[in-house]
Amino acid sequence: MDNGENSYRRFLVGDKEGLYEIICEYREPLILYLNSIVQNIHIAEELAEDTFFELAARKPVFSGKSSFKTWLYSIGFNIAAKQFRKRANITLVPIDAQEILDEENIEKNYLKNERDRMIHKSLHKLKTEYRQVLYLSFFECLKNEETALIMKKSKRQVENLLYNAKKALRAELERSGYDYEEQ
Amino acid sequence: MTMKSNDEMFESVLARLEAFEREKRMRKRIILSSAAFAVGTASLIGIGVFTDVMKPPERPRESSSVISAATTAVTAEQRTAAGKTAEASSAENASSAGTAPESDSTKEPDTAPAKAPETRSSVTAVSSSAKHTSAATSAVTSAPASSYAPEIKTTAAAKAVTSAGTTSCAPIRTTTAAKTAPVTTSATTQTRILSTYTATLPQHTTTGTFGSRENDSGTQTTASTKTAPVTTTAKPRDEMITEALSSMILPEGKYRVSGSEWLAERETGMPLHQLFVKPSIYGDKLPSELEVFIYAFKDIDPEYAVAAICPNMNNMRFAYYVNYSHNLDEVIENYNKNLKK
Repeated sequence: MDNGENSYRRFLVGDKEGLYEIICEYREPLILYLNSIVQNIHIAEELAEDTFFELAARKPVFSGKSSFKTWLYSIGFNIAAKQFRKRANITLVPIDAQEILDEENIEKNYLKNERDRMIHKSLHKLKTEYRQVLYLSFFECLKNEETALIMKKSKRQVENLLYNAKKALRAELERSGYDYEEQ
Repeated sequence: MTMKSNDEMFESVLARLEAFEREKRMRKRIILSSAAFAVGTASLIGIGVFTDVMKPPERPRESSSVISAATTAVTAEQRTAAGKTAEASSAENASSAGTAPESDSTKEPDTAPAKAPETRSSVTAVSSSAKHTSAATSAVTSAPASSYAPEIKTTAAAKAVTSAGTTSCAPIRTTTAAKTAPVTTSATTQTRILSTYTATLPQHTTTGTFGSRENDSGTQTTASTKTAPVTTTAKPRDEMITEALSSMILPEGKYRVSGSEWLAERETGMPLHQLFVKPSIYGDKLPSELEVFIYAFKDIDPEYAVAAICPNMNNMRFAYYVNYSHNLDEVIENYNKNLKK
């Protein structure tokens, strides 16, 4: 598995199947990641689509300095940040039942483990940066360097952020009655 | 609102991508067309500028006055040429028939005497051929019946001319008879005549043209040897004046008047009357050559001399020349005194 790098190169040559393969591989995790930012599954889906469209239309150059996943998530992060700047004055509507259902569906599809889904739900009560760093570290299994690249922070900042995020998550899990065991 | 599947998202991305490509092509086309339009416009402007740069500077438009002046000049030139042609033909006819070319005796002479085709035929022309031709071919104009100088007995000139032409370059002799020639013109009349005299003569007259003049009515009267009223004067005087006239016809350039085109162009001397044509050119002063020339006639009776040389010329002006004086008033006064005597 090349994490979509070859697929993207085939797409750059003209093979649209490469784009399809990238979408199939990264659609759900990207939506979940973007959801950790915007806290709206539908907006996260739109942002994910915008990310893929950015990939297909602009055809940015993948230099290979990081993994394709990290590079793709950083693109999604930039798009989400841009959307946040645009929607700064817009208050997000509260999560309705449909959104919760959609989010759960995605969680089920992507997070096979019940424990992971429980933790992912607990992330919504944390700060945005905590959600991002925890999602990228725990669910995407990215290294701190990669997380730093995506979040445009230094490695030290990501380590501190990750430490604080774990503490906040622990407190939240304890509050909800979940027996959290640090692994 | 349900979440999109992978296929739906892929289709959605492809649709957006196609729209994006279409918009990109459209934008490119617009840019190209705009660029082409800009390039075309710039080229046209550049061509225009280049044309303006390469175009020679426009000459300032001639004003209407200049144009009219040029037209007038051309017309005058044409008129001059036509006049010359007519003059030449008329002169030829006159030389054979004893008539002078038709002219206007009432008009003022042109400012450019060298090119003036108009002649005052009332003034008899003395041609260079006079010395070579017989006296019969030299026309003698009868005494003017016009309003001016009626008292002048110019008929004496006819006699002089009729006998002229047989000799050339004869020395001028002064006789008593010539000095005692009667002068009957009054001073007042002379003054009037002097003021009205404005005669001009043809420039290049090569044939003898004595005898053409105009009377008051404007009709031209042609004098010939048959009709010339030769009446009174004595023969020695005639001979004397004839000799004087003959002496006028001298080799080229001898009597040329400096600065006078119409005299400088003469080949074989010049008619004496031309020397009197335009006194306004010289003012009250005569050119040195003319003065010398006139000086040769100083001993000749002015009346006869004038009558012989220029029948229309009044005595007083001739006396002015003969006396070699630049003070015209003094000449007139002296002349009037002489008349009273």
